Amino acid sequence: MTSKLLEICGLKKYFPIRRGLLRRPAGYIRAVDDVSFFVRQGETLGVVGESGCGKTTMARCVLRLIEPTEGSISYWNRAGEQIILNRLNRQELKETRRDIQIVFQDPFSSLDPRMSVFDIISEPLRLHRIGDHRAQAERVAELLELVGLKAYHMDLYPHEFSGGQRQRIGIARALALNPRLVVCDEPVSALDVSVQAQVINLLRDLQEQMGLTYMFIAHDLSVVEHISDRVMVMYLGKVVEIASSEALYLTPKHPYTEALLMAVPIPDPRRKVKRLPLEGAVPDPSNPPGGCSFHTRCPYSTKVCRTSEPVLMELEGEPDRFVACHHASEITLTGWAERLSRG
Amino acid sequence: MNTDQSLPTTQTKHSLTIDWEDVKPKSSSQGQLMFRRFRKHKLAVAGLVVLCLFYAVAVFNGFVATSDPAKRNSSYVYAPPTLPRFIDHEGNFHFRPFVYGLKSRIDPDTWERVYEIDHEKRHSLSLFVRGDKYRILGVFESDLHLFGTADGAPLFLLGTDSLGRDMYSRIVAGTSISLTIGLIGVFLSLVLGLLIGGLSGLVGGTTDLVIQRIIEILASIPQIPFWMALSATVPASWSPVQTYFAITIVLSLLSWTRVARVVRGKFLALREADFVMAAYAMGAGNWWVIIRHLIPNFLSYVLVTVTLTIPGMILGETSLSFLGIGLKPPAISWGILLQQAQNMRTIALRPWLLLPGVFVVIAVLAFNFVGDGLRDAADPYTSNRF
Repeated sequence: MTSKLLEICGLKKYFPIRRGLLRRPAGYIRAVDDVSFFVRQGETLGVVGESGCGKTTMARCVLRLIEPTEGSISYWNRAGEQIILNRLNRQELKETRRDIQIVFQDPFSSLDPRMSVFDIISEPLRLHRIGDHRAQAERVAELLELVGLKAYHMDLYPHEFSGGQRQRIGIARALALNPRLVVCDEPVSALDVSVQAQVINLLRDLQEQMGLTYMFIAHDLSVVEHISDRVMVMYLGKVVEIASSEALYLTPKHPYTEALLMAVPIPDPRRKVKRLPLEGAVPDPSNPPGGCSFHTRCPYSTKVCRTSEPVLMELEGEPDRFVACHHASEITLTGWAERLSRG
Repeated sequence: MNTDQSLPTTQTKHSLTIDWEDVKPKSSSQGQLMFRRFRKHKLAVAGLVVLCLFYAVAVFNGFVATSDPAKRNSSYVYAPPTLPRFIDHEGNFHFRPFVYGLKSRIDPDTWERVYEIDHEKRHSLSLFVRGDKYRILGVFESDLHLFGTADGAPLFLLGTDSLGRDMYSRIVAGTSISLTIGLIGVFLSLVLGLLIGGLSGLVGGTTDLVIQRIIEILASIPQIPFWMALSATVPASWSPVQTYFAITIVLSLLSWTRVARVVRGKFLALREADFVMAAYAMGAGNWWVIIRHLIPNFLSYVLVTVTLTIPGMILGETSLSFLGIGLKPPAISWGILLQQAQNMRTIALRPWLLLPGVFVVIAVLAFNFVGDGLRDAADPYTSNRF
């Protein structure tokens, strides 16, 4: 088993809701509520969950784009030293940021419209004062070829590219500093389905070539399953299940994971699909339900789910598999098993 | 069917290989795109041409004027405009434009001076004549004028005022003050707006709250009384130049709020943009983000706001001077010239004294057209056509 690259312990991010003239906090939105997990060197950790479950907030905390309310983010650098990311001062942080980069969801807002592609991709190089103009131009050309674009594209401006090409430019920028960890924040959800596959394959190729580690955020399980080694499922700011992608797909242990899997569309119009309807909407994250936060919508919920909150625990006999459900070892998730058996 | 006939074949002489370096697309930056869109806006281009003309006149006013704007002609008080003509009273065509002289007499009933065209005196006009001395930008002295009467006879294209001074030359002379007060005032409000709006957007929180409330209060103060109160504090003993700058400051004290709002809004919007997040993730500091990302992205919007603020300043100066609390004679601005048109009698009997107002309208419209054109060019998705 390879070593850990990133470990998050008890991460919390609460956003105050300010009301009134004096803007006193009247409550908190618990965007990320006590999340703990780790990422191994060289693997891809998929993160799924519906909109508003705290995936992006969690990613931004990892990159320290926003300050977490509580918890620690550890990172092991190239020398194998453990660095607590949220205790670094500005200079140390700038150094460490070379290793951790991000690819954004929206290919239109992620590139500065006033900058040429050269300026965009060389920005990290200029920020860290790496190389002179010529060396930077060579590096930009190399990066462009690497992501499947042409070197001459560096003279163009973002508005002259399609969504997929822009996303490639965003990836080239993220790779400019030779990072170790790339956080992909829904990198394909704004793209056409045909282009999605291209970008995902590009990300896989790059991972092989450069030995990258990915944290891959998406709200679509089929995308995540394709690229991830392990998948983490989030619901309402909490982690409900972490498992290897295969295990998660074959035997989901948390009812919410099952519901997500059932929601994946099958590209066959003749096939009738039985869905497991999730009743109701996501509860208000400023006022989460007591007990298990999923009990309001869970078809398997019992009395204990309403009163006590389940903790994320490693399943007995299944190492590397964490579930936060009182009934993880008892219940069989009938809906998904039935669908799998029908092929 | 004749099977011996050979089948037609397509013969290509040139192999179809494409050298991609040759078809390299031509790129254009946002600035170039903006310029292209601006050029399509006909009214805005026309406005820009008018403004260029006006500012050229503002600089070279002595050259464009036909006489010294302060020169009095006691025998031509309230003379009506004499426009150049090509056809004389007998119907003959003259290749060179000319004006007729004026003769005056006193109306026996009203005791008023009445002017009549004197067909005996015909003064032809010519280009580049020598006349009154003037200085360009206060430095270069000259007596060459763009045009004038060939024989040096007085020329009152747009009539004269109560002291017999040539209105055309005075309007031309007023251009420099009336149009530059807008520019300098706008520069001041730009600096104030950028600093305060930037601070508000960047720091946020309580600072933002306080600044926004101050802006709201300032924006709700009625402009004219506020300006009147402030200009009343300008000492009467100050020189025209000092008064000029004092009035500029007074005008910009209210108008910076618009710029500040735009800057703050853009700051807030852009701060959340992913490309700014990306810059922070790379290790950029606040200054890097402000200089490389924020300013280039909102500059065009600030330019639009500034262009649309200038007409307000021109109108402000005109109003203040018209009310007699702005600039004071002997300074010449369009507002000061309009002071003479404050009563019904003038408007009824001597309508040409209202002409400076026409120039105010033209200048303000031109600025508004250019501003609209710039706005559409900067942001083609929020065009304002209704």
